[in-house]
Amino acid sequence: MKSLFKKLAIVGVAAMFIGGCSSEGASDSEKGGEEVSFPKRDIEIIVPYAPGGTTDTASRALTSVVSEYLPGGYNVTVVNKEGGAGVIGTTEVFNAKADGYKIGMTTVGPMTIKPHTDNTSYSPDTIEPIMQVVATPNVLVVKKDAPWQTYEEWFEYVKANPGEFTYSTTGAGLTQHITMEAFSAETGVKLKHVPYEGGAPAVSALLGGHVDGAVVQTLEAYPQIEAGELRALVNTGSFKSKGYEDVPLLSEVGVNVASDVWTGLIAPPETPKEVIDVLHESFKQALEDPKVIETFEKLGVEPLYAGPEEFGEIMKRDYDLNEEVLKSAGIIQ
Amino acid sequence: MIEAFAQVFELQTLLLVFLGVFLGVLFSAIPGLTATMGIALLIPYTFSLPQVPALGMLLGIYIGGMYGGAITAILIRTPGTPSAAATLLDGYPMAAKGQAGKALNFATIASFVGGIISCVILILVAPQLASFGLKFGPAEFFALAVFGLSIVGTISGKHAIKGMVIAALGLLIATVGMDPIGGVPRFTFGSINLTSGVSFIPALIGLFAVSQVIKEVEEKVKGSQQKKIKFQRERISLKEHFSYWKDYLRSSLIGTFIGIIPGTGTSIATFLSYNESKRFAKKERKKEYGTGIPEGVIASESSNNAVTGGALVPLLTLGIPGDVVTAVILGGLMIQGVTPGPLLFQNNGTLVNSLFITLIIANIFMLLIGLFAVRFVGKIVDVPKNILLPIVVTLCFIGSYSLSNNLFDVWIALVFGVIGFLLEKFNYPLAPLILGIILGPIIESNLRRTVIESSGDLSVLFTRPISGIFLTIAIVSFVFPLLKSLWNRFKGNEEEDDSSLSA
Repeated sequence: MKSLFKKLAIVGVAAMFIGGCSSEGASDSEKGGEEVSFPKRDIEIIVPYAPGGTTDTASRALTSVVSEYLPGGYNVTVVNKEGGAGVIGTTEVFNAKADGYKIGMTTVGPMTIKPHTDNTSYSPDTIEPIMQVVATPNVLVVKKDAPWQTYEEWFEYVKANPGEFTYSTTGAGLTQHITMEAFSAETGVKLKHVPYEGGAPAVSALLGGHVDGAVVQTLEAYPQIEAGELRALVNTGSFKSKGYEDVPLLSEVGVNVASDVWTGLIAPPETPKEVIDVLHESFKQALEDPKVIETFEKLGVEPLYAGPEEFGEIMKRDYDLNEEVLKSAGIIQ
Repeated sequence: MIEAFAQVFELQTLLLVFLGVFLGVLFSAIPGLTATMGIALLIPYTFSLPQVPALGMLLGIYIGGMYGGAITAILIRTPGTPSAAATLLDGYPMAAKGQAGKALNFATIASFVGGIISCVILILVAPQLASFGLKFGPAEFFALAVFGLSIVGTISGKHAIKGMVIAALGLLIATVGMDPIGGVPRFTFGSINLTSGVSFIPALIGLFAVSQVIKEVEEKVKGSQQKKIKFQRERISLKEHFSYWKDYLRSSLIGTFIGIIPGTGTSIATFLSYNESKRFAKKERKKEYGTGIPEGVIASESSNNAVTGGALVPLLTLGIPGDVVTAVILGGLMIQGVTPGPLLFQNNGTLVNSLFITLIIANIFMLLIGLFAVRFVGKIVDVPKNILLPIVVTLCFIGSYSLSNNLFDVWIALVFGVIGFLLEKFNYPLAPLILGIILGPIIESNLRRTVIESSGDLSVLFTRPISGIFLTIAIVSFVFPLLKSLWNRFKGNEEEDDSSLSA
């Protein structure tokens, strides 16, 4: 038995050595020595959603300026590979060559929820984080004529009337749903979940009076809140976004639940650290570019930077948390 | 108001609107490129433009994009967009009869009329209509979709029973993918590619275009090629157009109505409009639907362009996009610092007026581009088959791939091509399959939402007025022909039986 392990270990080391040599040979065509010679051509970002969504528009805003900050001024192009709620595009990045020329945008769904429900080939442990780009909290909103003015009043009601309060969300098994399941697990309150296909249908279901409340991303409810049609009772995220300064976080009202919908850049596993550093540095500068800040502001999304290590931790934390919640909600075994 | 006119009638604005309409027509005519994609790809270029020209260009693509699909649907039986799927029911048979020019002409005028009527409705009563769209909850969507299914007979021609079998198959195909309520994958056989369901546009391209190519190759091999058709430009007098005024008007109103309800979609509007057109047609004319008559083309094309004005009602007044295209337009508006919603009309009246004027102008541009294009694109039917068919196949596969850069979608197009070929060979109509795939998810998810919200009480489907009405019409229009056919059979008059089902 022991000798088998030994053999395996030798084979493994040999494979790593050969792998290392070959990748070195590929990237070091012109003897660069110690210097990092990345990039040498244009870079591709896989966006796992259709053109036009927030993730896509944010990616395009970043790529429109990032070549100014990349060594050599190479371009970065966005390639949309939608489907499977983001899993198809994220899998493509996972399987790509670890040379930094094909990286990807990913979000909380395909990275920390789908690996539990869809048996994906990747997980936060096997992917290389570059940085977090954007994060948006979710809010619980009700109609303006709803009887609850504050979170406390609402909480009293749902505690006294288990299973009465219906709320719509962006979809089954997404952050909004999982956050509320975590809320129920934490407080013991029973709510009735009605999943819709996206934030807009969820909001219109609430406006039409077909549900009692909705849990959606802050930007999806903002026009209605600004117009006084909807009222935000509580923020289920980890921070307060613009226009929602008065809405309490769940953690401020004594419930230990906080999840945001984040978007970040990832690279295939075992991408060399030097390459990650170049990408991280360039995209960090792009995120601080005034043009990008302005575009993000208009879109209603907030840049929220986190470096590679921190972003990796965020992914792993959400991944573990979601597993727990999905199990207790009976969605996975 | 004068300020709004001044903003729109600037050279830059007019040029960009024209460019937008042109790109919209082009993108939607080519299978695999969609108006949605066009808008999304152009949004980054609008960052640096002033508000009105930027938004004018995006709205131009939207409007042109509703029309362009008709060109390829009529000429090469390839609906460039799902909204043109109903157009080919009569459009392609017209082209096959040598009336491609006429069909394109009707499609162009119909798109223009639909677009303008819906714009007028949008301008006059947008805020009042918005709240109506919100009345549609799960029960109403379910009822509307069931009503949509009841038109299977209409679009199945002489083979109503076969049509129902195929519609059921379509519903079955629609269950593949993520369960919309439970969030678990179904019938995906472990393939990630199937978790978001069978990709709709590749399936559509396969069913109609790829299958047609296989059929033509078969005919060539067998030597049973039909006689050569030459493209003729046919002028249609205004008088002839006027003789169809009821069809133009009815379809435009249906399109606008469906557009106002967020979450229904253009394809439903076109099929419903086709059905109503046939319902109100004279008895002897009814039998000719599907064989290539102008009414069929008008019904589909008026309604799909009428959706534009309708869909802008909830978008502008409530900030709620009804489908993917309007969701992307919403992104474009936000980038320009415009937040659609209840406050837009109050705070930014000039901009709203500018958008309204732009819409009218975009429709006029679409008419001009359409009438001009008809002269040339119709010549496609003159291209020898041994040159045209390889081009169509290439377009089909590149188009299927480019939608989401996924090779799997090419396989879908190919598999559905073979399915389509076999079904037509055995006289099974194809349109019900599309109807099933479109309506299946709406029926399923909304029925389940209704059950959740009412705690299992199904009577709400009939006690809620809108849903009650739709379900009643659906049941009547489904059961009545069956009874009639039984009655005829009982009386020994068997001639009518199968075909009367389709009435």
